[in-house]
Amino acid sequence: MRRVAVIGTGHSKFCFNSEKTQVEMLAEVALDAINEANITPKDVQAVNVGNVLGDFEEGQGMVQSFFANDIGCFNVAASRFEGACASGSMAVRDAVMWVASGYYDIMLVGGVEKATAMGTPLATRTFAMFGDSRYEFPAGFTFPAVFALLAHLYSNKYGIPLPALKEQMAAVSVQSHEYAVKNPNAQIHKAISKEDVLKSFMVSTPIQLQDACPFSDGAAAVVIASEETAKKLVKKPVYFAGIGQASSGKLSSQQKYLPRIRARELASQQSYSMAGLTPKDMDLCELHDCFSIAAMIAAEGLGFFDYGTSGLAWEKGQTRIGGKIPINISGGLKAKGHPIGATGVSQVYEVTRQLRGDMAEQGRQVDGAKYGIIDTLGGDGVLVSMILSTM
Amino acid sequence: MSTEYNKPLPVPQKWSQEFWKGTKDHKFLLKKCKDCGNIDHPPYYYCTECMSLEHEWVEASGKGTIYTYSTTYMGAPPVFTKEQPFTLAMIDLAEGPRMLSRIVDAGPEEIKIGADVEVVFEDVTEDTTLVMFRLVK
Repeated sequence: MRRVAVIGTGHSKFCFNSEKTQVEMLAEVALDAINEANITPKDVQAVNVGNVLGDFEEGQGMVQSFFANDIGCFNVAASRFEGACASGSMAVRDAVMWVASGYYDIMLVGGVEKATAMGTPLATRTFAMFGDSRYEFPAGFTFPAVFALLAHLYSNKYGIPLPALKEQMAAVSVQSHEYAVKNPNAQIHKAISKEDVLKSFMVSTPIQLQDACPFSDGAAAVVIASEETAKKLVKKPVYFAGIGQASSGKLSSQQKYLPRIRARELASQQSYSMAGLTPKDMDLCELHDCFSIAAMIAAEGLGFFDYGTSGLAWEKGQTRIGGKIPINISGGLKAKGHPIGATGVSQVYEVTRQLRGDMAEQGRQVDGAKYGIIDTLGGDGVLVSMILSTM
Repeated sequence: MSTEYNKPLPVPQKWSQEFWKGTKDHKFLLKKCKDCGNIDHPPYYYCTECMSLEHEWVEASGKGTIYTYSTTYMGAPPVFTKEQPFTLAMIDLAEGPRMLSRIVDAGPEEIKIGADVEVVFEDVTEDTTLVMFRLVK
């Protein structure tokens, strides 16, 4: 397989109630990525797009073909990926395989979502479609409830009294908001305190409103190319060192492993193994913090902390710039925002720019970062892991 | 029993029809592998331990304990909003399987990990009966 690199990046501001259509949002970020890659739309051989609920949001399916045509990528193969919140990273991983195989040389990958157009009632209903609809949804299961079950389980299994766990969870949200203030693309530019988290509305015990990411609109895009082509086009290609993907069935099928998520551990092992690297080699991480407890579970599943200890790591600042492993220096899903189809592509954008050293002007550069890992969770059972490298 | 039940209903599949027929008669049936004795719930097409297709249906005691739980106060989809707060749980059945369900007739403060529960049958439409649990007091 050939080595594959990111050579262009684009990212919209994530927001509530975007005035733009999904095709417009995608077109803007894609043209930014294409310009940065020093190519034209005619050079793009195929397009992959992560988009989860476009049909419900705008009554518009197949945005991948319409936006490709609108930016001048005429008649290319355009494919849409749906794996709930991991859709964007599935689209990236698939494109990496196509370029690695030699079938395509240059591909454009986008992700887009306009969830807030649905309004909260329809949004909560459609998001719940990604849990099991036959046994679990009829009882009233939603994703806040799923992660709330895991939070109580985490507390019980690792012997952390609930009040202490809640403080640890709050520390995760506080850090994400702090970094999001420095990220111009972030949806929420407001620092919050531990007290703000602990006094917010109760959603599903023990998860409160400030333990959860918002509904978001937004888009991100990257151009990827083979190593040979990348070196001709840009000064600092950022390479895919390892990729992995795994899945699980409905939540009940994962009961023996919870609160650990088996698919995450398999997907990240694939990435580490392909890259010949270990968690200790990583200089930064963008992981799937749809809820604060989800971030803690993810950091452990990726191998950064022992099971039951990641909350302490957040409290001690080990997840900040200068700490053991800087995590979600973008503000994460919690405060950067979580336009579900775009999230994985946004994570690749973030890590690429960190590895190129582009974040200094925003005051959130991880100095000298060589390797970064992204982790995206779709529903409670689609996991994508990718390791990016400067060399 | 109401004919205007507008909440989502379970969809019986080829390998779970017997379970839903059972709940209608207020029987909690579990799918047990004839080869290795493993019980899967929800029912699978095959045995998740040994992949066997040979199985029998056995009646559960309806007893279990709470493995983990959460009480939802807000954020449930519209059809469930009026029921908030309601409690969802993973329940360790006496027969082994760990299942997802709802705890009814209990205040949030009464529910704890490890608490004993027993099955209750909720007839939600003429054709469908859901399995839920209540605390053993």
